[in-house]
Amino acid sequence: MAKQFILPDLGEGIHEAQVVNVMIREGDTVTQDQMVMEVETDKASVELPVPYAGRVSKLNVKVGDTISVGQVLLEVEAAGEMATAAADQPPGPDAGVPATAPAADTTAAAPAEPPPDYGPGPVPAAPAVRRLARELGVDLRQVRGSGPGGRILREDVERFQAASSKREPAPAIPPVAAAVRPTPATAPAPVPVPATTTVPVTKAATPPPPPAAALAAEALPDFAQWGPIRREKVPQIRKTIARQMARAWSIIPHVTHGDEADVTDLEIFRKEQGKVFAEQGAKLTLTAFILKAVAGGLRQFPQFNASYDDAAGELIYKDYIHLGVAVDTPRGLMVPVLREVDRKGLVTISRELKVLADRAREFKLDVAEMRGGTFTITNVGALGGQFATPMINWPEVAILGLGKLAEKPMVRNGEIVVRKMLPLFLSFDHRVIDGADGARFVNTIATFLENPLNLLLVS
Amino acid sequence: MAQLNMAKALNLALREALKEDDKVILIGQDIGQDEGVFRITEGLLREFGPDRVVDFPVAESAIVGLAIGLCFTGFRPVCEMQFSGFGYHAFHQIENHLSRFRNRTRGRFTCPAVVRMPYGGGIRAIEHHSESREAIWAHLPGLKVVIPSGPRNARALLRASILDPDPVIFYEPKASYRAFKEEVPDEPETMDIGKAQVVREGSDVTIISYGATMRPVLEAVDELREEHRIDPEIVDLLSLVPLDTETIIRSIRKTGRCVIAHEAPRNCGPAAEIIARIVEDALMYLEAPIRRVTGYDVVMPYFNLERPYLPDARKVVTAACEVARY
Repeated sequence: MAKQFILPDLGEGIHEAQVVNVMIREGDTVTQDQMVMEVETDKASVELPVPYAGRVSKLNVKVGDTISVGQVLLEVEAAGEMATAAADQPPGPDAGVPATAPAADTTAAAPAEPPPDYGPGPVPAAPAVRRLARELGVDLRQVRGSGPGGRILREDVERFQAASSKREPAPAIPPVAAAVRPTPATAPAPVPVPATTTVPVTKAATPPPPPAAALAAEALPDFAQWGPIRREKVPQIRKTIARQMARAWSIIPHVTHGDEADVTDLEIFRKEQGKVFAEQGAKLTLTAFILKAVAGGLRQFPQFNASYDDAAGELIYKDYIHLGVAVDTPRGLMVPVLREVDRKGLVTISRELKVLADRAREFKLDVAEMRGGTFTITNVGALGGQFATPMINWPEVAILGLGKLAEKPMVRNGEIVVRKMLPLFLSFDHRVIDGADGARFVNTIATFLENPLNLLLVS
Repeated sequence: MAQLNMAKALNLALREALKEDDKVILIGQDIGQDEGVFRITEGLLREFGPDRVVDFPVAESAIVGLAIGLCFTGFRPVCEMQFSGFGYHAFHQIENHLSRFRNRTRGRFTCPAVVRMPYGGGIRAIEHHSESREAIWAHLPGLKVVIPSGPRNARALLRASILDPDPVIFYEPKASYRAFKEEVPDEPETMDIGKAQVVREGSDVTIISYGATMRPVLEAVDELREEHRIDPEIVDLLSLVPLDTETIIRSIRKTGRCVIAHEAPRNCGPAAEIIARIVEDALMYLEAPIRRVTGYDVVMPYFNLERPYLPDARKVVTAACEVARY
């Protein structure tokens, strides 16, 4: 019996990944720990080593597939060995716990494309998944399961429903009414079950009504009816950004406060010191100063360095200052985190900033390097812009955006002079921070940038 | 507010009840002159006298039988079984009479009595001194079964039990008598019997427990959150009868996953009843099977093996992980 290689827990609460590279084929012989595929998770790329040696008897994934933690990726037959069929699960129960073994350890790998023949018996799916299928009008027998032992998961049902709402007449679903038992009188709010679940599908179909369970997007119209279209699968990172932006926007009431900082003197200092820095192998960028100024501001306004626990009614203050710096990469936006910015000098900050930005662009960041931030800075100035409304990186409570540094005519002591002005725009979470504090915080940052020596006074 | 352990909190509840109502009377072995083997009744004989705090011979059935008769003449007896394991001598009186009089006499005679029993292991006692048999009492119609988990709810629930017009089995986790202290308000307070408490809100798995097992369950929270990124919701039942089904179901509908932990043996234990109710009312919200963390189907072992017998944080973490990752 072959050993199954199951997608292990990738950590950081990540449940799925996209296959970007498969280095082996069915029939190949592999050694233990040989790298067999590359998967793209939540903003980082991971190579997977196969834990077993032997011949790849079954390969279940291909480039472009979305896979879930716990899914069987491939099977390996060790030469001449009778391997156990036990699934490679994360920490198993203690000997002391008298638990029954999970049903998942009798398995064949789920076949790649059409739904398996489930036979006359029940289809493997948890009760909550069954309810979802019923609400969506999905026939479980048509769905391929990607869970352990071929179990049908929520995502399988959701994906099936999304795909089938585009297809030509979907198979008619047998009415569920016959299988519904009368709910007992003591049951609170019984789950609503449609009398028939046959889904009428035509080319310009309206999909079944949205379920009670919180599900993704509303139905899109069929755009092809107005002209030619082209569909492209988005990379995993884009899906992640989409999810996170939607979440941040829906949870946080955003307010943005804009202002300008006079960085004329700072720029002079920076250009002068730039040569000294270059000798130490670092490029002294304006961003490094901004980070220091922000760290100073956060020390004075700790509520901007916090997170809001709505359920507990608590503001979680963090004693550490880890700043996320948004980096534009060819694959999309990434936010590596610089740690303990308040404790580091400009040289260190500049150096670390460069290292992280380079690694972000090369797509070599660990997931861990993008977690744990307390505040984010985003700089679109290189491309231009006076003002924007940056989106807060939930569960942070604020984000500082920088616009285009430009010379402008300003009035000083009644006279017009040319100064270098840097637009600052701060979006903040109005559940936690009011406009006045938003303004004060931006004023403080601006003051630090206009008079960098003030930063020495911050404890 | 004072910081009290459970023993002191129970003592406080008894003292308040004795003071407020002349009809409250305590009956048990060694509770007066010796102030109780766990000192729950410390100082009460001295303060209220032998008519209110009665030292009784070693005859549990007579303690309850006497209490029943006293109920009919207007008293509110609070009986003590010195250890829950001795309570079976009184089983006949409790099952056949104490729990039935309201029904039998159509309400003419009722039994507003409390039978307090220290239960559970973890104190390295000899045989018969470490039992958890709350399932037996919960099965008898006509009784309430109340099980506190900490000083504050012990005081409030004992008070509520004494005020209750019907018989209450008050099961006290003896391992928790002096294990920790809590703020207990100076003013008397009660809690509704039959309401569970959501001790910690969470989203990934519901962990249900009661009594002494609440402590290992709460110990498991940090590891679950930090090392396994699992956010548990913790429910303290506080009573098995009535069982707060509504709170349990609401939690299951939120998380879809469940672990139940109790010290009592597994077979036909309280977890089985809870699972039955979940399957009846929230089956279609379950994302995974339910796991029980329980004592074994053997008598509590002696001394050194007591620790492996009892549910601990490690077992709870394992079960929660299994259920969360199903």
